[in-house]
This record gives sequence, C-alpha cells and structure tokens, in this order.
Amino acid sequence: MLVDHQTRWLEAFRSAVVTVTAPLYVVSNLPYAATDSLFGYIRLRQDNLSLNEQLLSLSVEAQRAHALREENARLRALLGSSERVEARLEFAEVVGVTPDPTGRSLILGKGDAHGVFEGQPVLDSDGLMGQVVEVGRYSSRVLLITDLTHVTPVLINRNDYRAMLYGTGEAAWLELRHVPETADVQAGDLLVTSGLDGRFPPGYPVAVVASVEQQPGEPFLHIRARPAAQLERSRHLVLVSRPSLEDAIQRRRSGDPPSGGPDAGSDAGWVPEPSSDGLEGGP
Amino acid sequence: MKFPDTLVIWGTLVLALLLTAAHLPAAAPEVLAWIRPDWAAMVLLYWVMAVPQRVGMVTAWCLGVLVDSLTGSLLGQHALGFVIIAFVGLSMYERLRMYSLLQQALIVFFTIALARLLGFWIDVMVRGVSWTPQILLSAVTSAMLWPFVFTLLRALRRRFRIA
Repeated sequence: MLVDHQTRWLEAFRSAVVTVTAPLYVVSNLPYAATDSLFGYIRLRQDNLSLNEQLLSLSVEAQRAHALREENARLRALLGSSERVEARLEFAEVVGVTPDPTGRSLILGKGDAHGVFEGQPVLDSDGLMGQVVEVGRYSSRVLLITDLTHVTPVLINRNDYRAMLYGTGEAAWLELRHVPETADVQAGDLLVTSGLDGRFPPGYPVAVVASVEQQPGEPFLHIRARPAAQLERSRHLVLVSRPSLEDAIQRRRSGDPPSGGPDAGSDAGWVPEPSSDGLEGGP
Repeated sequence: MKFPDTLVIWGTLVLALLLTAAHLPAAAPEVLAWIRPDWAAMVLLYWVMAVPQRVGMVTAWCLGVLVDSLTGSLLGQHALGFVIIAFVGLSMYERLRMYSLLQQALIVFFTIALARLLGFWIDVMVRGVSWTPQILLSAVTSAMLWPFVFTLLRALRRRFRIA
C-alpha cells in the first residue's frame, strides 16, 4: 500500500487489474441500459423535439460566436498576446460509479484504446466534472472535483481573482479556501478554470459561489460553492485533450508547420486526428 | 454433471463483486450508499467457514485486490481487510459452524466492522477523510443480511456437493 501511495511502480499492475474488473461495471450497468432501451422510444421522440430546438438556438449562437472568435483573434494579434489552443473532444459514457460514499468516482467506458490519458480533464454540458486518474484498456476512472483529495485552480469570472477550489467529499459542495477578507467575492459569482495548472484548459465553468461567510477571529473567508456540472446525474461526458503549451512552443521553434502569421487565429500547427467520434471545437 | 468446485466458489465471489460494483440511481438518497452491505466480505467469510481447506488467505487477498481496483481505493486496502476477515474465519471456523445464525451474525458484524475501521484508518492517513459513525452501518446491514446469505450459500454448497 505504501508503494502504491508513494510511488508509481504499481501503475502497470493497476491498469491490468482494472482491465479485468471493468467488465463488472459494464455488467452491473445492464439494468440501467435495459430500462433505457425499454422506455427509449417514448423518450426518443420527446428528446428529438427538444434537441432540435436546442440545436437551432445553439446554431444561432454559433453564428455570433464565429464573428466574435474572429474579432478576438484580431484583437489578440493587435495585443501580440499568445493564441488560444483549440481542444479536441472525445465523448464517453459513464458505465459505473464506485460505491464508496466518502470518495465517489466515475467509471467511463473508454480507456487507453481510445486515447484517454491520465490527468485528462472531463466535462459535462454544464461544466468541469473532474479528471481521469486511472486508465485501463477499455475503461477509465474519473476523480470528481468534489473529492476530498481534489483541488482545482479557478478564477472568479467577474474580476479574474485567482483562488483554489477544494473538494469537500460531499457531493453538492466545494470550498474556496485561503481567500482573505478583503477579496471581492460575492454569492452568485461564477468560478471558471484558470488553466494555471497546465492541466485544465482555461475558461470552463466549475462552480457557482453559494455563500460567503466571515467568521470573527479567522483570517480567511468561509466560502462555499456549488459545482456547475451535474456531477450526480450526467451520463454522457466529454474528455478534453489539447496539445500542451510546450508542444506548441517546440513546434514553433522547429518550424515544421508554418505558423501562419499572427492572425492565424487558433493554433495553426495542430491538426486534430481523424476520429470516428471525436470532434474539433473550441471551448 | 458436476461443476468444478472452484468455479462455483469463484462464481459466487464474482456475483458478490457485481453487487459491489452496481451503482444506485442518481435520485437515491445518500444514506443508501452508506448502508450497502459488504457482499464480498460476507461471501468470503461463508466459504472460509464452510471449506477452510479451499478458501483461505490467498483467495481473500486476490478478492481484496479486485475490490480495490473496483472501488479505486489504494491497492491492498481491501485486501488487508479481507485477509483479516479470512484470518478470523480460519481461526474459529469450527466454533462458527456450531453457532446459531444470530451468534454468527454478531461475529460477522465484528469482523466486518474491524476490517472497515482498518480501511477507514488508512483513508484517514492517505486522504484525510474525517470520522463519521456511518462507516459502521455497512457492517450492521451485513450482519442483518447474514442469515439469508448463509442459507442461500449453504443450499448452493449442498446442491453442488462442495466439501
């Protein structure tokens, strides 16, 4: 146990055992899958209607976003600041939830064979869920942002104030710690990933501040936040990967793909791999 | 046709693992997650008690590693607990067989509670989990379900004539 905790020697053994045990999750998920397919047709029609409406409203938004993206790229070029890196998305379904109530994590139905890697950020349609901590051949385990051992670096969207968001072990709560009394934090503030860790891409919503309390005699504020993502409910998740900054820098130095000038918008050197269900898209 | 005994024993153990892996619907209240009985430990304890010459510490350890991998806990955390359960089972299986179901259930409670507390102690050191008495709830439900598990597995053992 000490070896597993302190070193990474058992990593290979772990992922081998996980490859054996993951099918158990798939089998135990069968009742849910069965009810899904039984009532599927009724729900399918309703889903279809509402999804069509959503698609329409989102494509209208996308039209505007396209113009904004161009404008953003131009302004960034004017400022001479670095370009945003586009992310590649991979979709995965939750096949299991680990039973331990003190540290719940999700099992995804995709693994090493689908290009999932350790430390990969996981999102649902509303915000950040967590990160991949264990990869088997055809499955992977996701540590949720609410886990006791998880900390997410965030920004307050309103004023770019940086802070660390700690998991509490409770499903519905996160804590913003070490924030001094003078900081400008209000209930209702949206917290987004800051990207300073080099792991989570910047700008994704993580949580909404629910309460800010000042306790006399304590140096820091007591701030609680609710996760933005539907941690308990979401079944279809998105795995995000993007070329690390170092890769981008190296590519620029070696100069193999032409960088395309400052107005190339998003990272020009990086071409998403063709994948059956992977999509290219920005945050 | 007679199945190999090992197949039957591991079949029940895998079934217990499936019950461990099964997740509750999202709408279920949180207390249900706490009161889940420790299926794998119960099935293990039964086989250790019934056929100690076949199921012992090694089986317990292997099962524990599988549970560790299922729950994502530290490799060896459940394995240690299960080895202790198997040890208790091995050291008093002759007495356990003489006990009434109620007395057996009491022993089940104490051994699973012991294994749980040990696992919790490791969690405290590694992840900083804080104490709640709820971690013992699963030992309570395991003890309450023991008579059913015991009768079911005994019927199975007699049906397949495992000795």
